[in-house]
Amino acid sequence: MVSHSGKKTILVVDDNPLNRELIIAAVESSGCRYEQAENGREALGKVKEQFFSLIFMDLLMPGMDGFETVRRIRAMEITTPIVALSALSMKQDKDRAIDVGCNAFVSKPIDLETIRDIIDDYLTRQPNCDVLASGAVKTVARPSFDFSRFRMLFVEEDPKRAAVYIPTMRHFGFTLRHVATCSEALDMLYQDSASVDIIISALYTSGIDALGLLAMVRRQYPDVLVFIYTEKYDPDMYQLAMLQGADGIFPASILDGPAVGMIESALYRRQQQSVMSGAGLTGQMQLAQAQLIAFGCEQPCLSCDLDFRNLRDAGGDIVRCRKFNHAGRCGFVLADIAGHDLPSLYMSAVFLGILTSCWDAYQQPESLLRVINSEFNKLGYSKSHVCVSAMLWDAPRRTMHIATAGNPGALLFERTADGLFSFHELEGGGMCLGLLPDHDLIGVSTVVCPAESYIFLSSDGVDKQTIQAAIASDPSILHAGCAKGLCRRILKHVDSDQQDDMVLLSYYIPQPSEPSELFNSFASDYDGVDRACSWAANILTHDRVPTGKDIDFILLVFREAMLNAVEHGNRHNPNAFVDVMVFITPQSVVIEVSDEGPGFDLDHALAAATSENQLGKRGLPAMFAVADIMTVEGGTVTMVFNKH
Amino acid sequence: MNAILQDKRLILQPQSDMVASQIEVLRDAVLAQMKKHPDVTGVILDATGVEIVDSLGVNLIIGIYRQAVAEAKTFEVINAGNRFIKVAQFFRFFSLFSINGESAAP
Repeated sequence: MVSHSGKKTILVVDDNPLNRELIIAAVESSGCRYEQAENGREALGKVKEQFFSLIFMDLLMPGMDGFETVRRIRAMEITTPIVALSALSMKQDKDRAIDVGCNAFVSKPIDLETIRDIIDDYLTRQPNCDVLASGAVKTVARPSFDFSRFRMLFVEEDPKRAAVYIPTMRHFGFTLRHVATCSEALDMLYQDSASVDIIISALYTSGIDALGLLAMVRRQYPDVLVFIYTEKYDPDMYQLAMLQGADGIFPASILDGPAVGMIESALYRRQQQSVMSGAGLTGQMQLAQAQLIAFGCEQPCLSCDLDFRNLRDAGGDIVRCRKFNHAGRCGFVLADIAGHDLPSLYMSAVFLGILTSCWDAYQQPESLLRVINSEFNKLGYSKSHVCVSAMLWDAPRRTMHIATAGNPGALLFERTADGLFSFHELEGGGMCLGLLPDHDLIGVSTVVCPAESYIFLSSDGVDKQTIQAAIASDPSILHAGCAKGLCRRILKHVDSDQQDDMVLLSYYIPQPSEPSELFNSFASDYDGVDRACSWAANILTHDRVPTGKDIDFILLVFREAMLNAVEHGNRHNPNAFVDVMVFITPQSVVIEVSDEGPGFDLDHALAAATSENQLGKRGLPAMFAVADIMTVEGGTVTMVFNKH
Repeated sequence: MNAILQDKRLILQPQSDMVASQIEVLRDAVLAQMKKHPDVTGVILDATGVEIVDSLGVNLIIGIYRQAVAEAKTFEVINAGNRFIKVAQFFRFFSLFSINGESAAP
């Protein structure tokens, strides 16, 4: 579980409560969070579930002692610094502690100052692993692997982008030089090729582009690693770059996370030496994985919960959700990446790049999986595959669309009349993505979800019996009226001898909104536009419209917003809907028109709507001119009409 | 849509709003009438039956105007109601042709 606080978390393991209190006091005074464990077994459970920045470990404890606990933690390839605390003071005890994997040994008795110094010493070496409530990673932990050995040449012509990306790379420890263009990069190589180990370049720079640079480097400096980043995912470009021998190509949006895993992976393959321990590598992979399990909304959503539990190492599994419009159209994707090694992390990065690039445009789960499969096959990366489940929640229709490719079917827990929950397993299976081009072996189901039901998606590491058993043992967890914390509570029930990583997503189907005359759904066609306008004309009466506003103009631009939704958002899809919400206050009228499309860039669209073509193009200039405020967020166009 | 010939001018009388749901039928009818009467000296859009005009309707009106100008014919709108006038003002029709006998000062 990833901490949602910016603070680092320290694990305190000691059977003596007084010692724990003392250490905890020091931890808190250092501004860190803590978890505590009374014995080795409890400590092992916690390190499996959570990332810690530091562990204080008592060596003499009943049952599993500190030596054995540390040995097992290191066997799990967890690299968190461990400071042994013990009354044992013989040199052989210290040596034994270090031998099993402790980073330092401190003799008891201990005092507050000593503990604070240790915390300062260890935690100032690594920045926060700070995951925002939104799930967006603000800064990621610096890996234990020492990137400073490698000299990076960073190529970015745009000073604003350079100002963002370069500190990120430096944050990871790279020794970095910056040039603006690929031509300058080549000049630098000509002058001193030994001064560059890695090149990371923007795809396009003045003069030659990154593919040109790549071709020259591959020919003349084969030991130099070349990575290319792009502003957006472009499957053809990615395929071309990989064919030309790029060590990696990725969207700039993952430069601070999975991309670093790719770089580390390439370094490992290239060096083929023990410059980094397996433990360090896995620790980095686990951190990268934590970034792949992320919410898509800035505002906390009580309906959605995500969690994962990785065991021996990370598999690069992904769980993501995304809100497509204001009417309650949300997407969910759970991807179980095959393997537990570096290539699986590469697959994760590629998958995330494809997903973020095409999700808005392919919201329907089945079409989304087809597109991802097609893109994977274009890459020609045949060494791995991915099992994926995708869902689309359509709140106004109370419908969940589900597609699976190699993953178990969704599980629906539906509240019955007696207040209990009945259980249904929806269709799952299908063929994993990345194996066959253009396959149509995708499991598809659609279910109308009753209020207060729960729906689960999981990787095959979590079987339905586990979820059922967890709920049967504590039925109250389905009576909270939300999904928060649900996944973690269920994953706790998984057997400790489980061999596969587990990812779980749950979604709580809330009660529908109260029926309102100010909300309506319309078929996405021109007749639907006429019906919507008649409906709007009935509710936007003179007494409801802010003074100084002309109802005729409001209705005119409302009609244009509807046309925009039908023609451009839903692209005349006869099965789509347009959802309209009107909010009326004494000061303003707010109209939200939501379609099922990816939305559009308002500034760009307005700039393109010249006086010549504005008459027929979306009516955007009219909408923008009449509304006091106009915004586009996903598939929702919002117009605000204020009192003058 | 009705069409009347009067003093070598073609008067087009839509019987519905000029909005997306009606636009295909209206466009076909307008094109057919203009093709049928190539020798008229002007085209008049009689907006008596038109209350609402959306961007597609605006496009059609502009299309008729352009077609008329291309064929060296005059174009004007008559009997426009209040809502039609608002749209016409917003989209600056008056700078192109006269409406109800009014047009922008040269």
